[in-house]
Amino acid sequence: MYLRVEALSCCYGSKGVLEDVSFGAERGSVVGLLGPNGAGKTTLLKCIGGMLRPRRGKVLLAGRDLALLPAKERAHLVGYVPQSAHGTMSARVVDIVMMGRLPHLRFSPGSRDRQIAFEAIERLQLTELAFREFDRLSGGERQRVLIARALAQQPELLLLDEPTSSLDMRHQLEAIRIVRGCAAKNNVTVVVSLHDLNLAAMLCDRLLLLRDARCFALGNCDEVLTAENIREVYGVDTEIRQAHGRRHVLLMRSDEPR
Amino acid sequence: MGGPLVHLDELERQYCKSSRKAVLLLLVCGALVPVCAVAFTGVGAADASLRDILGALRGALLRGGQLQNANEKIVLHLRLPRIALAILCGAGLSVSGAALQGITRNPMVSPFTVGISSAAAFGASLSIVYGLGPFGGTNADIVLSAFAWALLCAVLVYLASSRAGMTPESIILTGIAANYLFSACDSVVKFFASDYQLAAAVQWLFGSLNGAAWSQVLVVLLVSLPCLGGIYAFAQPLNALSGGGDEIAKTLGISPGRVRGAVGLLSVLLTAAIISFTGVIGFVGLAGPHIARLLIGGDHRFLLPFSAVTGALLVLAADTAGRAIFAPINIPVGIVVSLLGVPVLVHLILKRRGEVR
Repeated sequence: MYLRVEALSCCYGSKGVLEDVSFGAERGSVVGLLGPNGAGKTTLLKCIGGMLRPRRGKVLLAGRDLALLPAKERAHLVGYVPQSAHGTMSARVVDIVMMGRLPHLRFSPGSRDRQIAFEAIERLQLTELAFREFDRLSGGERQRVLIARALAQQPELLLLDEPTSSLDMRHQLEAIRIVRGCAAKNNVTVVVSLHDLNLAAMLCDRLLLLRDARCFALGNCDEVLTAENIREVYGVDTEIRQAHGRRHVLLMRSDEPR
Repeated sequence: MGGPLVHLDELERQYCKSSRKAVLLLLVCGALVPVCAVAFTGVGAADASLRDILGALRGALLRGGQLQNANEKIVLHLRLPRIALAILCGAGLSVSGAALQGITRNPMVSPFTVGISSAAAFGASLSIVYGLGPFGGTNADIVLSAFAWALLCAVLVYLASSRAGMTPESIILTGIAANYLFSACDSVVKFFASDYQLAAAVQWLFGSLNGAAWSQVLVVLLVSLPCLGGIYAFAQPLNALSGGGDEIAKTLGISPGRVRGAVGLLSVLLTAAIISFTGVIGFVGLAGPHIARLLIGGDHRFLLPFSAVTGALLVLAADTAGRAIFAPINIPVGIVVSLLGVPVLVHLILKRRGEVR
């Protein structure tokens, strides 16, 4: 396994928000984190990325303990896309994306840094917005900027926190295509939290279903996306159909006959 | 057909063009500072001609301090140190404001938000009223006392906010608390002061460059230069903190708490060194960075030096106006800078709003 998360636990104060979560990922694969609000998806991502210090457990990337690496070195390996960025002060889209090059440069971006950043902008179809102010963009546009920033960082492990939550359907598909492309072509290992189970089935090789800070199910899409699991964790009734070689989750109204 | 490549070239071209524009703006406005300095040296109760100014400079630099007439003496010993202090003061307070706005991600923050002006005022009042200090209650004691209390306040705010996680909110809130604390202390001292002492303490609050001397310029310069250089070295981490936020900064290998601590202390040291000599010249620390940000954008590699330029020009212009309008009476620069800076700032804000719509 290229990425190994071992018995990770994390607390805010005395409240455990993540308890004893373990999973692994092959290099270039996409792991999806599923679970209802507050199940611990974001906490897990932040612990893996080193933004939160776990209480127990460790994260190994290619056999190296991420917590023991110097921050600068870790920044070469791990990229992170937050759900949203808030409170930014006048910065242009191009500046935000160029920020992804910071771990790689001394003070000013060179021509190669610029090229990588511009390619990321191009890839997320942000060319028209490149010189607009970030805080004047819509939520979906901002989310794409944040993804471009993480791509410009050229990490080996990419962590995304609900990257499609503000995107329209076309851009959701586009984002999924880009993330899959990173995994397949550039051998980037991806851990992504998602709310949309159908997008998860489209994007991920493996799924980790969290409930109440613990791992409820872990496996490939067919193993995890079952009506029983979903009812147990989310408390909703669904119907699972198989089409185009993957699972589709149909949401049922509670008064609908099944 | 070949679209992406064309787009990439276009992006590169536009990006380089915008960087060049920023550098050009910086250079042009930067060149205005010495031009204004020389032009404004001639203004005042005694009109000095350009020949007097050049003569004074020649006398000081080439003839070992030999001056030919009274005008040259006025220029060398009264006007020039005042101009130099105005430039340092404006540049320092403005850069300090830009840096503090960056680390708190808040455009309403100025060096005085974190309480150092009140603490410095308290220190000055203490010295003015009780004549405490190693120099027997002279002007040097006022400076020293203001500086010491400002630094003490900075350390208090630093310790309190680092216990609270060094977040923007913790810095601003502990700063505001310190502001109230030292204002209250200052009021207590003033309450027990005599009329004459009270007048001197209030005068200090106005903020003025009266009586600027080369020795003061030298001290401020020696403190300012390392602080300014130190802050500038953090330009990119400041970009990450202000433009991306803490989480993104962390994933870039930057520790937000450490950057806030270092940049905050450097900014406060810079401010304390300046206002101990000049008194409270407030508005430039807010307006300087704002004007700079509106004109050159948020990239701290350009914003920090440009803030220095806007701040220096603002204080230079304000001090000169204060000397010229009701000459021979000098209106304290701290007052004029607000009268002058507010319309400039409001104009720029309204103009930008108009452009966005």
